[in-house]
Amino acid sequence: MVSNEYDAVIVGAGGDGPVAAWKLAEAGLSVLVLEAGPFHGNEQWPKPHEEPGGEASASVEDLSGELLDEQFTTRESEMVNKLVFGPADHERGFYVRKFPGDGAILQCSGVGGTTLHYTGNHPRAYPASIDEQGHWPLDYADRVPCYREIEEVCEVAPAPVTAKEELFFQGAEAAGWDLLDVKNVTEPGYRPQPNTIRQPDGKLHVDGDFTYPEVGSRSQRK
Amino acid sequence: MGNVPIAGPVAAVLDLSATELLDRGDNEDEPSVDRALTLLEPDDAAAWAVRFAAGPFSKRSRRDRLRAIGLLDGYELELSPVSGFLFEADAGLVGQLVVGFAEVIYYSEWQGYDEFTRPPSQREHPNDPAAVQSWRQTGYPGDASGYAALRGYVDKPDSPLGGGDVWKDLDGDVRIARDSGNFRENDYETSGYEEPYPEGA
Ligand SMILES: Cc1cc2nc3c(=O)[nH]c(=O)nc-3n(C[C@H](O)[C@H](O)[C@H](O)COP(=O)(O)OP(=O)(O)OC[C@H]3O[C@@H](n4cnc5c(N)ncnc54)[C@H](O)[C@@H]3O)c2cc1C
Repeated sequence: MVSNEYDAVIVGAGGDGPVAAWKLAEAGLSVLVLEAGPFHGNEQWPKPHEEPGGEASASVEDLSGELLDEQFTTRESEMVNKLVFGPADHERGFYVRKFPGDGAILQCSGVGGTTLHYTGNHPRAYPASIDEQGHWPLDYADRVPCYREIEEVCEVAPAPVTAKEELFFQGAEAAGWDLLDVKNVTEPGYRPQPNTIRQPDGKLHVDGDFTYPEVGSRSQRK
Repeated sequence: MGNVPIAGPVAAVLDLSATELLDRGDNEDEPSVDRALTLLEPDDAAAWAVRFAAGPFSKRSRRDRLRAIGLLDGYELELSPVSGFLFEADAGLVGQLVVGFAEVIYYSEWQGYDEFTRPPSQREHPNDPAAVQSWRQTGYPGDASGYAALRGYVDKPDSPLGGGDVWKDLDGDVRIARDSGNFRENDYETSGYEEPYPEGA
């Protein structure tokens, strides 16, 4: 299934690699994407953390929602373990990284890369950070069509308000900041995140204090 | 993976940083053991015992504690644990762990496994809220596909952000609307922008 030659080989199927692969393939090139971490929800790799599984996947037929639900759970510590930045076989330890200064890099390994736990926030860059900094080879205006395309593909929309956001917005307003409703941010202020996580069903609306009202079937409970 | 007791070492590092802050004379407020006492709940250890045990970090004011954590950025650590892989960091990591470990470990489901040492596909997690200490303490009923927590979408008169009924008024004319609207495309003009960190400066 894997050939000996490709026009382009992309290392890492994280946030950026697959987008590059998509665009190159659209332009008619043959592309191979290499990913060292696990591919969850793919029948080629039924036990991605325990057994080597298949060699490659090139068909949507391989994707399984059932397998994904089983492997990719809402249990946080379990997922921190499964997505750790290293090979899918954890017995082999982490990748060694060296970075200057302080900080913890929460990078994930696997098909999806660090987007496997990102929060779906899709802001555009600040126009001034492109147009008023001389080192960019392009203008903000060149990027706007790209933003529009990806915002449409990812269905970017204002993030919903939960108890936490309500408190934040109240505080920001009380502190004298303006609510921004624009895509291109040129003034200080606050706004909901332009977010790509699908907005919740209106049935999930609650009035009053947060209590943990249950939603639908508790499939994960026994 | 097992139980790695890190509370002791982390406390020791924080105490070191608090002592260093005082040595450098960089503290803004005088240390006071009363600060440690104000954190006590009725069922906690007796005040005399806390007075006796309280370390330098707990006696610093809130701002000085933050300053002490800031000092840790300057300490280089080089550790080579048993597994042989190299772990290099500076002690600033400790400050992040103090925040991060509580979130991703203590409040996680970790304690609730029947048998944690098996391979991932063979582990059973009964999702029993009583089996996890932090879940008991916070009244968390266990993980679920979701909990109903939607209030609506932030909005303002004449703004396209929200739509439908106003569900709640917040400060000023900001409110939470029932339905979502969208952001609007706008012209941008950047010539008035002043770079806070000019290149080469
Ligand atoms: C907690 C968190 C929240 C975030 N939230 C947001 C957000 O809301 N919005 C946003 O825009 N950004 C967010 N980010 C940032 C965003 O997720 C990353 O910037 C983005 O995923 C980076 O994409 P990447 O393709 O460069 O790298 P990654 O997504 O990290 O992918 C790299 C991939 O390469 C693989 N790899 C590495 N070495 C090899 C090798 N030698 N051979 C084969 N494969 C290899 C890795 O396994 C990995 O899958 C967040 C990040 C974190 C940590």
